[in-house]
Formats: sequence, structure tokens, C-alpha cells
Amino acid sequence: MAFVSIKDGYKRYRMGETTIVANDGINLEIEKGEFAIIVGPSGAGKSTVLNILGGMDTADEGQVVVDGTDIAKFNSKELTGYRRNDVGFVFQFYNLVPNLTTKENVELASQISPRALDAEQVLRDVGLEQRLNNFPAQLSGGEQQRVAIARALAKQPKLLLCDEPTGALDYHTGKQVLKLLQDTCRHTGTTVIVITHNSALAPMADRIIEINNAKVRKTVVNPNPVSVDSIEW
Amino acid sequence: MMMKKALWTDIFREISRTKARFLSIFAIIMLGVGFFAGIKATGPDMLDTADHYYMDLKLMDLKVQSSLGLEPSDIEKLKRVAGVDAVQPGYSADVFLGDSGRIAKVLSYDPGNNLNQYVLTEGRMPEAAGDIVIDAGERGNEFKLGDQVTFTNPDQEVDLGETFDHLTYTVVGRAKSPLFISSMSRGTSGIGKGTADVFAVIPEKDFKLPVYTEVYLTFQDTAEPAPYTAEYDEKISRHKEAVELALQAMPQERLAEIRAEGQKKLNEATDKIEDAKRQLADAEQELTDARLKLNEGEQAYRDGVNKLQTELAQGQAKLNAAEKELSQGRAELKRNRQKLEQGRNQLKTGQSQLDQQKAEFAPKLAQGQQLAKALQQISGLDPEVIPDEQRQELLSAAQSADPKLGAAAAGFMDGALDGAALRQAASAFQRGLDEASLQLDQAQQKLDASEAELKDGQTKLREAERQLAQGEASLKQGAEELAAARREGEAKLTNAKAELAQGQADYREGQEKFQEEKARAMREIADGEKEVAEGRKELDQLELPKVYVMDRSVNPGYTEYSDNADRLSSIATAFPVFFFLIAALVSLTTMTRMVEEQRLQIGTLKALGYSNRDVMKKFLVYSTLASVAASAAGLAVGFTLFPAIIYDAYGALYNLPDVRTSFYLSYSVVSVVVAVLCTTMTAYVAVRVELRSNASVLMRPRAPKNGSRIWLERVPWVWNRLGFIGKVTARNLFRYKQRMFMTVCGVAGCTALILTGFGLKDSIGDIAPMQYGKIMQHQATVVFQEDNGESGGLEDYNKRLAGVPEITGILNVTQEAMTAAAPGVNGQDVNLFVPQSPEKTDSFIVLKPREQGQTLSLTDDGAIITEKLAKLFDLGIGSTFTVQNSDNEPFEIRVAGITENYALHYVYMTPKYYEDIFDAAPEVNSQLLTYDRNDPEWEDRLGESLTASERVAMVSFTSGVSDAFSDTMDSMNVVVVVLIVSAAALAFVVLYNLTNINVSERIRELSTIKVLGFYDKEVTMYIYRENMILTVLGIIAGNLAGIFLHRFVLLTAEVDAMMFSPTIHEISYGYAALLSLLFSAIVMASMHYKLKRIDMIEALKSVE
Repeated sequence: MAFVSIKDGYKRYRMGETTIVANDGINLEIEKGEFAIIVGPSGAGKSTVLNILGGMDTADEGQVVVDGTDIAKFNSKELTGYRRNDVGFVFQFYNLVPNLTTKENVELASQISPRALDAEQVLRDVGLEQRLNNFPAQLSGGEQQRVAIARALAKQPKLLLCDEPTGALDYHTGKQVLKLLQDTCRHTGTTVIVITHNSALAPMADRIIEINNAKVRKTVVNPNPVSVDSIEW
Repeated sequence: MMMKKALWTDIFREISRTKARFLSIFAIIMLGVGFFAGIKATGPDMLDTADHYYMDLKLMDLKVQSSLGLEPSDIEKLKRVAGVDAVQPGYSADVFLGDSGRIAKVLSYDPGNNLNQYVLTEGRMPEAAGDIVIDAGERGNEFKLGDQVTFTNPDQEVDLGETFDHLTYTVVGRAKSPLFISSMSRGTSGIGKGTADVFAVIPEKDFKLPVYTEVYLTFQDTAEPAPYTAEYDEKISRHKEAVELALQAMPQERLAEIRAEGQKKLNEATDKIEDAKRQLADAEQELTDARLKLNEGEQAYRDGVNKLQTELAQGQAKLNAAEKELSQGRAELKRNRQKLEQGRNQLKTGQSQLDQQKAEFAPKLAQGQQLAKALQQISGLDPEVIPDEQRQELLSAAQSADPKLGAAAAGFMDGALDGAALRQAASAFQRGLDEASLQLDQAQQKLDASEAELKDGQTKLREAERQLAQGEASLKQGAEELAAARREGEAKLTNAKAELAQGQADYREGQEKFQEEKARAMREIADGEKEVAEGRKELDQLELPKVYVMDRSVNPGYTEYSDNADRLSSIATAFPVFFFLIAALVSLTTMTRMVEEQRLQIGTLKALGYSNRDVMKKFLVYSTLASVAASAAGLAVGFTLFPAIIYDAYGALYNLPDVRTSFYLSYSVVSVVVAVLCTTMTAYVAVRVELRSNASVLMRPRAPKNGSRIWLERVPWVWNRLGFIGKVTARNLFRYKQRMFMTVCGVAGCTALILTGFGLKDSIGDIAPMQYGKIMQHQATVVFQEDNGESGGLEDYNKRLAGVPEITGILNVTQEAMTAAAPGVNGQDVNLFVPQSPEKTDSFIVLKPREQGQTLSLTDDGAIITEKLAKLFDLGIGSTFTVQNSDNEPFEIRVAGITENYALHYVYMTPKYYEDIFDAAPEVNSQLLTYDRNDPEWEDRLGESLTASERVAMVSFTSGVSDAFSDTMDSMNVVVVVLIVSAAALAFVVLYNLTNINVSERIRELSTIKVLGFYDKEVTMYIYRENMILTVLGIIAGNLAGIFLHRFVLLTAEVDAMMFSPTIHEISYGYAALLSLLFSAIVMASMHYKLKRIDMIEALKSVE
């Protein structure tokens, strides 16, 4: 049984008279502890899949099973609980609370999570022990993203979902962040799913899912993922 | 020129897309404009309503009175004043109405009267003599159509018959008058308690006064400007001068006239007195003459009596003599008659004896003769020859004839004797018989002679009798004459005496009468002389009559009404500004937010090549449309709703018709301009700021606001104690300072308004229980009739009082109505209160300054006055102020203390101080009673019992007064409700708006935490924790601000005669807080739903 699986997932958006089918029969599976990346062009439906997996959106049809539970049937409250306890999300634009310090931003997540790790420790783990009391505005993009990751990790989620985490970062910083994600995946056994445009990242992942035009076109399993350090693009 | 159709499409779509924002601006502007325009318009509407009322009923502009009345010549003078339109003279007088104790101002009415027209509420105007129309106000309700009403005045020196043709009238109608727009007050009166209760209207012909008591005037040029304006006042003051000028000579003329008349009257009177004196002297003289005559008469009578007596005595003497003679004669006569009678009797006896003898003898003689004869015959015979029978016969005869004969006969018979003897015997016997016969004859002759004598004597006697009779007749006549003479004389004398007696009686009567009347006449003369002397003095002291030219301000309620309207206007200036301020701030925030949201679009438009002006268009159109539409709606509602509500609140105090609402261009323009400025200007400013950046900058996300340390973090012992969420909240609070400030303001404003609303309710509602529970400790006030010391009524009254065991205290009081005057302040009615026993006062009235606990006692060195009076005239302990009585005489009073009081003005003083000031002892005219029975039926019965006493004019119960007061004040509740509702609306709009903005500005943040797994409630609380704190801060600030706002409203809304209790009940703070929290909670609830439905994904996607 796959840790994460979507069976015949459909998602449609009605905008007045037009209907946009974001997910048109998605089928995928991801094993526990895998580092999976989802690639595809803009508007393919990648974010929709991630959003559904992250409990922020519900599939109109189909099954979404995470660790044995079909979250497609969850109501709003159950989804919130799911998000709270089992999911860590990292956004392209960090979405840190500007009014809180680094530590507080992480605490924001750890305070509501039952399995939370110590915020300071997590930050230390991501290398931000010097930045505990700075506000996001005082951090660089990479640092901010690391805070976001720390925030996500502090919850010890089952899934760590990242939507184009390096989209706003330069090459080196981006690589750093990816390394962090990879290390986390390896060391903690957290299932990490990353959405990216960059198909060059394929070697670092255990699984590559190609989504195009609202459908999963190709799934590739990589038996020997390499460290991201060794990839150049 | 391109149509820029797409641009306009965008503009209009924006409106429909953000309905909530549009509506919130709309709402707040509408509230602000409506409130401002509405309340601002109320004052002028009130004045306008009054103005039309006055115009329709042709209320007088000026009223002219003089202390000696006005005559037709004065009326003519007034008619000639320049610009005068109508001149209406009339009569008025104050009376008591029957037993009701009500004082009525009676006004004259003529159907031709054009000015001061009446509005009938029932029945018709007076037509025939005896008709009366009573005031339609509440105090006249005891008079129904058809009732009889009698004018009375218990003052003995007043004769109402001099004023009115008759004193009983029938009620034919009830009416309102523009002269008395106040529903209660009818002005002062010269009788009774000093204030009139109602007015009454009777036909002019029922007044008997020789002069007019007042003249009403209107002017041609005052029809146009509304009263209560400066223009009107100016015109009136000019007319006043003109009228005063026209009547300038009047006082002197009248004085001269009155003096001349007075002098004439005095002369007449003096003449009359002289006349009377002369008449008195004449009468006296007549009496004296009569006395003399009487004396003479008496003398004559006495003389007459004497004369009569004398003459009668003489006559009588004569008569007596005559009588005596006659008596003698009579006696003689009597004797003679007796003699005669005797003689006759003797004669008769003799005769009868003789006759008897004769009779006896005759047969005897005859027999004897016969016998003798027989014997003689026989003598010659032998006795034996004689037959026995004969013999026997002869014998017996002879025996019986004569014994000697018998013997002889017997002897003869016997033969003893011879015939000769017998013859002898017979002869002897015969001789005897003859002798006897002779004797008899002699006797007879004697008798006859006696008889002849007797006859003679009888004749003589008869003669004497005749004479006597004559004499008697004479005597009788004489006696009769004497008697007649006496009778006559006596009669005459009796008459004379009677006449004399009559004359004396008459004289005595006359004298008595004279004395009596003289005494009276003397008294009257003395009185008359005294009056003449007084009159002379009065005449000497005659002062110039005063002419009073008064304008409408003398009408009760007239000035007060405009003051109230002004008060509203001043509230209208302050209050809505408050609203507008908030409206401005709210729209500023809203438009700023809108601009923020549109940042990208602005950039895009700029990049596309649209000018700044084009970009502006959207925001300006949006805001202008919102504010103009809102203003229109606000004006429509405000101009109609607020004046009606507030006017109704005042409605109980005045008897004016329904309010006329008007559209006021000035207020409209002002409020629209302000509204548009608030919204459009802020929009303009906000956009302008953005437009300074260029397109590219605009299209990039705005640099996020830096988080920063807040000062609270520097206080470690607080900061470390705050939980995580606490820190978040604290930071959030200080991050959005502008919005924080706005929220606090909004909530504070709401709380302040609610507090003011409840506070007003408290202040106004407290008046009755404080005034009539805390301060006035007595339960009833008895007002006495104006009496001149009728002790009979007093005894009866005291008896009635004694019969009520529940009464625990009695205080006799002198109460007088006066006016306190000072330049720059409206004249205030004050009640002078002089308790007979000052030391007993505190069981009846608590005199105590409001802020302190110690009660004041009345002392002789000054008066204790009530707080509002002190406030109005700026008085402290030791200050002096002036009061005037109904004759406008001024008196200076020193303030010795200031006491808490809420309704009307009182000046308390001791009797001694009263005497010091007014130079007369205070007369007790009312009484306060305390009792501990709280039963309205019992009170009614007590009232009936006491008013039945002739000493009592009326009884009023504190319970009744306080109830009536409460009812009046209940109308203020409307104002309170208006405030609370406005506050609620304000709060809701502000809070909703701000929270909305808050949410939309922090949508990413909120979405993030939603993503992080915050439950909906937690998400709401994340925002709302801040709001809670701000709300609480706002409530505290609002309660504080509310205290000031409340004070301000009280100050401006307070009528002169009342003080509102400045205390706000503690529970009102609670209500204000609770309500604000409630509104806050409602906003939060609606926010919650909104937050629930945030599309996390959309929010997190947008670039910012």
C-alpha cells in the first residue's frame, strides 16, 4: 500500500460559465520516505495536486489516501486537523508572518502541533541559530525559506509539501534549500514532495511524476537518487 | 477622444464587486449626514413651526399696557404710529374659578378680533353674554362643555362686579392660544399664589371696566421676517420706540386728567360733606325748635289742665252744692214723702181700719141699727113675746154686738130689765153705734181732713218733687254739662296730651333717630373726611402712570422655546461633528485599503499609458458616488426623521401644532461637501501617494512592513510572562497603529454615545426621585385661601388636621413667587420659601450642598438658594442678587448657602430675614405635611377633607407632582433611544469596516495560519484577540469620553429652571460596556464566517 496515493482524482473549477478542469483523472502513488518531485509546465495542474495532498483543497472525485486514510472524504474541520498534524507546507513566497521573529514563526507551527519539536532546535538544524530573533524582513530570501522549512518541519509532519520552494531564490541559495530538503528526507524519513519546473532536478529524487494538461503523463522511479550537490544546471 | 469604455466598465464593476466596502462608506456617510443635517434642522424647524403658527393666528407683535389702563384717545394715538397694521384693544382680569382653586387670566373676545386668534379644540368661541371658553391645556380639563363657572375672589376688598357684568358663565368651548405656547405656564398673576393656571375667554361686552387693560399691535413689516431672528428683533425694537414715542405724552395727560377728575371728585365729596354737615345742623336746629314747641305745648297743656281742673272743680263745686241742696231737698222730700207715705199709709191704714171698722161696723151698724131698732121695738114689748128664734138671734146679735147690750138684751129677755133699760141700752147702744158711727165719721172726717192734708201735702210734695225733679234735672243737666264739659275738656286735654305725647314720642323718636343718624352721619362724615384726606394725599402722591410696551418675549414659553431650539442647534454642532470625524477616518482607512488593493492595477494602467487622472477616476468616482448617494439618503431621512422625533420629545412642554420639516440648503450643502471631502479627498490623497511611484514599482509587491520590536519587549518581566500568543497579539497591536487607533476610537465613540444616552436617561430620570424623595421630604402641600384673618375657617381646618392621626409633621410656610433678574440672563421665576419655624425645616426639606454631606440650617443673615440659580447668576456664598416682586420692585438678597435642587428655583429664608428685606412680616399662606401613609386612595380622601375647609385653596401631593414630572420626562426617553440606536449603528459600521480592512490586509497571514492548521475558531481569535483588547481599551476610553460628552449635552440641553443630576448611574457604565461588547461580538461573529470562507490558495498565490 503506497503511503500516498491519488486514484482518479478530478478537480474542476467553475468560473461563471466556463469550467476549468485542473485535474482530469490523476493517478499517482508515493512511498513513505520518498523524495518525490512533480514536474510539468505552468497551468498543468501540479499545484492543484499538491493543494489536494496538503488538505487545502478537496478533489471533486476520486480517492486521496494518505497513510491509509482517504482524505478526500474529509470535511473542513477534519482537513484542518489533517493539515495541523500531518502536513508541512513550504510555499514559493515563504509566507512568513512578518510581525514575528524567526523563532516565533516556527513556534507558530509548533504551538499547535501535538508532536512538535523544539523550535530552537529545528532552527539550529536548518542552520539559523544566529537568526533566532530577527524578523523576516531582516532575513535574506534563503534564510526566509529555511525558516519556512523549519516551520514545516517543527510539526514532524507525515508529508512535507513544497510548492516551487526555490522559485524566488538564486541558484546557490536554491541549491542550499534543496539540500536541506533532501537531508531532511533522508535523515528523518519524512516523505517530501516538491513541485518544480526544473526537470534537471530529476536525479535527486526517488520518484518523478510528470503532470501535463491535468493528467499524470509519466511516473519515473529512480532507484539511485544522488545528492543535489552533484547536480549542476 | 476615446470613450475609455473599459475603464468605466471597470469602475462600475468595482462597485458591484466590493458591495460591502461601498455600503460601509455609504452607511457611515449617511449616518453622519443624516445626523448632522437632521439635528441641525431641528432647531430651525421648531422655530419655523412656531413662526407659521404665530403667522396663521396673527400673534401680536407688541402689547401695550399702562398702570392706569388705556383710553380711546390712546388707541387713536397708537393707530397713528407709522407702520402699524392692526390695533386691537382688549380687557383682561385675573380671577379664581369657583371652588377649584384655579386662577384664570380672563381675556376679552370680540368676533371682529383679528389678532391672537384661537384654535378651538372643542365647541365654539363665545358669542352671547355668559359664554366662556376655557384653556385647552391640562389644567383646564376639569371644565367640561356645558359646565357652569363662577368667578370668585376671596379678598373682601375686591368687588368683581366692578370688572364683570356677571360672574357666572357657561363653558362653550376649549381652545389654544398662540399667546401661551407653553403647555403649563400661564404667566404671573396678581392674586392667589401668584401664577395663573389657565386662560379663559369671555365676550368683550361682559367686561365692565372703564379703560382698556391692554392693546395688541401688529406691524406691516413684521409679517415677513420670522420671529426669533435678529431682523425681527431689530424691527420690533424700532417699533417699540415708535410706540413709546407715540404714548410719550400719555402719562402726563393721564395724570393731569386723573388729577383733575380726582380733584373734581374730591371737591364734590367735600361739598357733599359740607352739605351733610349743614343738613345735620339743620336737623339739629329742627329738633331744637321742635323741643321748644313741645315745651310750649306742654306748658299750654299744663295750663289747660289746670284751667280745666279749676273750672271743672268750680263746676263740680257748684254741682256739689246743688247736689247737696238737692240732696237735702231730696232728703226732705224723702222725709216728706215718707211722711206723706206714712201719712198715706196711716191714712190708708186708718182708712182701711176705718173701712174695716166701717165695714165691720156697717153691718154692725146696720145690724146694730136693726137690732137697736129691733130692740127698741121689742122694748116695748114683752120680752116673752118675742120669738125664741128672734130672741136668740137678737140675743146673740146683741151679745155679739155689744156685751152691754147683750147683757141688757139678755137682761131684758130675762126680764131683768125693762124695756126702758132695754131701750136705754138699745139707745145707748144706738148711741154707741151712732157714736161709733160718728166716731167713724169723725174719724172719717179726720181721715178726710188728713187726706186733704195729705193731698195738700201731696200736692206740695208733688210741687216739691217737681221742683226737686227740676232741680235734679237741672243738676243732672248741670252734671251732664259738667260731665260734658269735663269730657270735652278732658277729651281736649287728652287729645292735647295725646298730641303732646305723640309730639314727645315723635320728638324722642326723632331725637333717637337723629342721634343714631347723627352718629352714623358723623362716622360717615369722619370716614368721608378721612377718605377725602386720603384722596388728597393720594392725589398728591399720584405718580406718572407707566406705559409698558412689551414684545412677544413676555408670553410664557416664547423665549424658552427659542432657547430650546438654540440648544438643539448647539448640540447639533457638536454631536454630528463627532460622527463626521469618525466617518472621515473610516472612509480614509477604507479608501486607503482600496488603493492598496488596487496597487497592481494602478501600476498596470499606468504601464498601459493611462494618465494619472484616468487612474484617479476610479477612486474618485467610487468615493464620490458613495458619498453623494449617502448624503442624499442621509438628508432625506435626517430632515424628516430627526426633527419629528426630537420635536415630539419636546411636545409635552409646548402645545404647538405638528412640526414643519423643511429642506435646508445650507445644511445640505455643508454636509454633502464635508461628506464628499471626507471620502473623495481621502481617496485622492491615498491614490496620489501611490501614483507618485512609477508603474514598475507599483507592479511589484509592496515591500512588506518591517516587523519591529515594540517597547513592551523592553520590559522583560512583562514580556516574558506573555505567552506566545500574547506576544503575537501585542506585536500585532502595535504594528497597525493607525488601525488600532481607529478601532479604539470607533469603540470609544460608540461607548461614549451609549453612555451619554443612558447617562441622560439617568440624569433626567433621577430628577423626580431626588427632588421629590431625597430633597422634598414632605408628602403634601396645602395652599391656603388669601384670607384676612378669618379665624373660623382656621379652627375648622385645624380640627380636620387633628382628625388625621397619620400626619407626623406640619410646617407653616410663606411662599411667594418672585423673579430673579440680572443683565444678560433670562429672568428666572424663583419661589421664596419662608418657614414659620426654620428649625423644623429639615424634616420637610433637606437643604444640603450637593457635593458635601452637611445639612445647612437657615440663619438670619441671608438666604439659602438652589444650585441652578447660583449657577445661572454666578453666585457664591456671600454674593447678593436681586429679586423683583409682581410690582417689579427690586430687593437685594444675600446668599448664605447653596443647596442641591433639581426642579425650579427656591430661595429659603427665615422670617426675620424676610422682614429685614421686605419690611413686612411674612404671612403664612401654605403648609407642608408629612405623613407615612403611601396609599393614593387615602391621599385622595385626605385631599377632599382638607379642601372642604374654607381656609384651603388647594392641596397638592408630592406623589402627584412627581408622577406628572416623570411623565413629562419620559418623553426624553425618545432622545435617549435615538442616541443609543445611533451609537449602535456607528459602532457596527466602524467595527465591521475596520475588521474587514484588517482581515483583507492580513489575508496572506491568515491564510498561512489556516494552512498551518489553525482551526477556524483559532483563526478568528488570532485576529480577534487584538480586537478584544482594542475594544476593551475603547470601552474604557469611551466611558471616560462619555462622561464629558454627557456633561456637555446636559449643559447645553438643560432648561434654565432645571438642573439635571450630573451623576451617571454605575450600571450605565456597565450597559455601555456591555452593549459595545455586544456589537463587537456581532462583528466578530460575522467576521468569523468570512474568515471561514477564505480561499487559502487564492490568497497565498497573489503576489504581495
